[in-house]
Amino acid sequence: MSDDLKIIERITQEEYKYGFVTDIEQDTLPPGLDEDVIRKISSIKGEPQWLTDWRLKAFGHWKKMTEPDWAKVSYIKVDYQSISYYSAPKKKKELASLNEVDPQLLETYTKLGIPLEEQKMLSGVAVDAVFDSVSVATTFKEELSKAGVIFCSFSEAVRTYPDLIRKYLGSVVPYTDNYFAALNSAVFSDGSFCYIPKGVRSPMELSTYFRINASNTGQFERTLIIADESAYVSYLEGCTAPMRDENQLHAAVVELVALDHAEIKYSTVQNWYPGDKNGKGGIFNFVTKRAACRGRNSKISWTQVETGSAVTWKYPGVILQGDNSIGEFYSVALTNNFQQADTGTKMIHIGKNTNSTIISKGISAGKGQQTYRGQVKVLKNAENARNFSQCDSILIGDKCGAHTFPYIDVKNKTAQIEHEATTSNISEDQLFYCNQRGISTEDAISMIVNGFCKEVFNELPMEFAVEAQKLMEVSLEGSVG
Amino acid sequence: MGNQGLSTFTPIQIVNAHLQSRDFQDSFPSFRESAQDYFTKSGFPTSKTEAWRFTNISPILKTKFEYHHHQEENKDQIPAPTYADKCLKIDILNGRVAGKSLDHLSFETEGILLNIISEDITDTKTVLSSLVSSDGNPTAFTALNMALFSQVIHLHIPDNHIVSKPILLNIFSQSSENPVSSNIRIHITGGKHSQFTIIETYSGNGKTYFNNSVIDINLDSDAKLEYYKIQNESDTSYHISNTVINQGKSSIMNANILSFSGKLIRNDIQVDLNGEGAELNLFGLTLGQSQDHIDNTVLVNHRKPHCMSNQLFKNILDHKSHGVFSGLITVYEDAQKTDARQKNQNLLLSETASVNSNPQLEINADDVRCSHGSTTGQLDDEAIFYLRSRGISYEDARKMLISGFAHEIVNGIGYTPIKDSLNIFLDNYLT
Repeated sequence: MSDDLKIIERITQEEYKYGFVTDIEQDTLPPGLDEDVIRKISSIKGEPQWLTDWRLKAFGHWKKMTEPDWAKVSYIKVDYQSISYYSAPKKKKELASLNEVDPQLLETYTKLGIPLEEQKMLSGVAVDAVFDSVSVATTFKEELSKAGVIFCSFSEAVRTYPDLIRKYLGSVVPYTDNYFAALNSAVFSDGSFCYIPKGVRSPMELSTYFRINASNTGQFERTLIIADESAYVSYLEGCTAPMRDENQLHAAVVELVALDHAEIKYSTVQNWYPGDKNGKGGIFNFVTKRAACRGRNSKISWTQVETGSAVTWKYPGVILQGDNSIGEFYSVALTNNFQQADTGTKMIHIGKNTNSTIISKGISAGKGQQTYRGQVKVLKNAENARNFSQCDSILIGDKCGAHTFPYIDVKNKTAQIEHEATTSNISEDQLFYCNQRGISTEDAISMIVNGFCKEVFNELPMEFAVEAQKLMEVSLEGSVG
Repeated sequence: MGNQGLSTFTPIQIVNAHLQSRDFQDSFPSFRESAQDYFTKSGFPTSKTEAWRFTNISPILKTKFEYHHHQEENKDQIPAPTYADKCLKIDILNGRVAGKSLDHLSFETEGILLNIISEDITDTKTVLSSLVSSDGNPTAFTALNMALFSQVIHLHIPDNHIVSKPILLNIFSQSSENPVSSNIRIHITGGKHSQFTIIETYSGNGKTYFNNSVIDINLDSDAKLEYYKIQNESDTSYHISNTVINQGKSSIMNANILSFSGKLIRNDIQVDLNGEGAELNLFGLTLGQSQDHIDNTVLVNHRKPHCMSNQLFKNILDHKSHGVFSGLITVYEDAQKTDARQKNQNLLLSETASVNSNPQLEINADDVRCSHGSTTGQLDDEAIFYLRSRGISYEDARKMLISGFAHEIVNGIGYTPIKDSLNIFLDNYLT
């Protein structure tokens, strides 16, 4: 197995490929957090009084909370007073086309391999690029507005559609939900807002690229997606961040609401800076994502590919409120070097005949630690609830760990719940079989890992599936060809 | 304290009173010290304590119990299972060995060292000091036990000894006016290449009582133990048991945890596979009815390479009963070539029964095979229809399916008298 060891060594020593800092002047608030900072953020964004009050209430609640420590991750606690809570590129004027965008910014995206223009032409994806905290370019807006789909930055939505924001903001993840949700509610910078009206099928897949850039700026994105009756939308989110030695905090909140017969498909590829091979630096990704299937026959599906971040702490969940509603969770998480990921899902069955599926695949290499933590809860009146969960882990190297903590709480006898999990390494037999047929060990590991993740990759939209495979390659470089 | 006769205390009161009382500290000082250490640092768990989220112990903490620290006269014969005369029997009444019915000779003939330690006189000190160390990490209830027990039952099976008869620990609780609390402490050590069977049965006189038992089992290399824990407590009783098992090289442990009734049963089972090639087969069957609350919390630690563990816990829950299975397999860095399996299956028979299943894996070695599974459901309508369409009544069909569900456990029981009595229990349960 000495070949393997060499490969593992190479994998674990791989530097982050997307590390660089873009030099753009930024408007940044001085570090620190108090009520004045929150008022300042709110006034910079020209928010109505009720939203300022909401932020302040959230801040008041946050101050009373303590940072949770139950996750199986260890990190140096964040000093919330040393973070700057607002930063925006200097140019504030609204841009009509991509040509007006700072060329340096466009270059950043080109380096990341996600050129806006190319995507616009080739894939037909509308890209709302969030560069740090303010949206600088929104494409395909016109086409979407023809269909009646609202897709804009969160700040714009607050100005243009205050009623919708007021009705749904915090309705899935209230600011009292948890420590990081409260913090986000107090200081959220920007994010995306999406509303699909009754009976509309979004004409294209919606996508936002988040990118943390300015040094010491926590990112507090807020995303809200509402699919009205019989609407359908597929939303994509992807992230990369530059190399930096200081830990950066990302505490986003994502809320999804599906009404009667509506369907939302939410896909994420997350590749933030995971820290160097000694575990120095990297992003802290403490995200609250939750979806509510409010209506009858509604369906929400989460698909995530997590390869980045030093510490990930994330449980996209679905509240199955409407009768016959469906919740799905497909996840691939990869930890390498000193990365830690504590991730999973919550499926709360409330309505009748609700159905949920959980497929989670974990790959742990180097000194990576990986945890699946999930809950399937069937309430008393949730007749005929059905759940299937499968959580598999692969271990590569003898210093990594894979853990599984499912919680299954059933209060209704008609429920049918299945959970299964396996953990194993890539066996010598499998490698031998491939070697024997002329496939190098590197290619063999690549094949096996890709096959292992296939069930989840199949759920991703086409463009994303390609990117996801590329990410796996980069993250496991040396072994995946 | 024992002289106070009918005085009653809640567990918290008794802890405070005992840890301060001078003459109490004089007996078993090392145990009392550990208890004191624990209770000065921490107290009883609350519903917010992760390990106790699903089991609410406040009814125990609110009840005032009587504590018996001295030998009582047993006027009546202590009820025992039907197969008792085929076994080497130790009757334990309210936490203390009933001396009258104990046949020392039969233990001697079988070569078993039976040591009932009521105070730590010099020649038992070394035995005791080796025992307290195995309780390195006390929890609230092991600490409560260490503070309150008044007798240690120590069984040792010497090297290369094969004990022909099962050893029966017949634990009976008898409350009269006030609820009684017993703190039972049993230490079992199996020497190299020894083979033996332990049957631990719990029952009571139908009133409220509280059993807080600590069972400590040490198996040396190549030892083999068949172990049965049978809980048939009164339906107003509380039972908390901590079973700590330490397995040496190539030892084999086959354990069955059979829980039939009890208002609140919590079994904390911890198995440490501390020698290469150790094997653990751990099975559990719960027949929940009325308002039973039965919680099996199982920790299996794979500390050495080439160990095998296989767990299967089945809960059948009727009426308002509540079942909890919480299992954690931890594979340590050195434990390569581990093969660990864990399965929990739950069958809900009524609208009001509920279950919490929490099977967990923590794996820190790469060359391992670990899996766990959990299922929850009701009787399959189609299976019932299949049987009924063949002229079998609904009641019979239901019985057949439930017995079928339990069969995997029942059939695995090696000691026939227990298998027979389990079948009788199951029959009664189903009618």
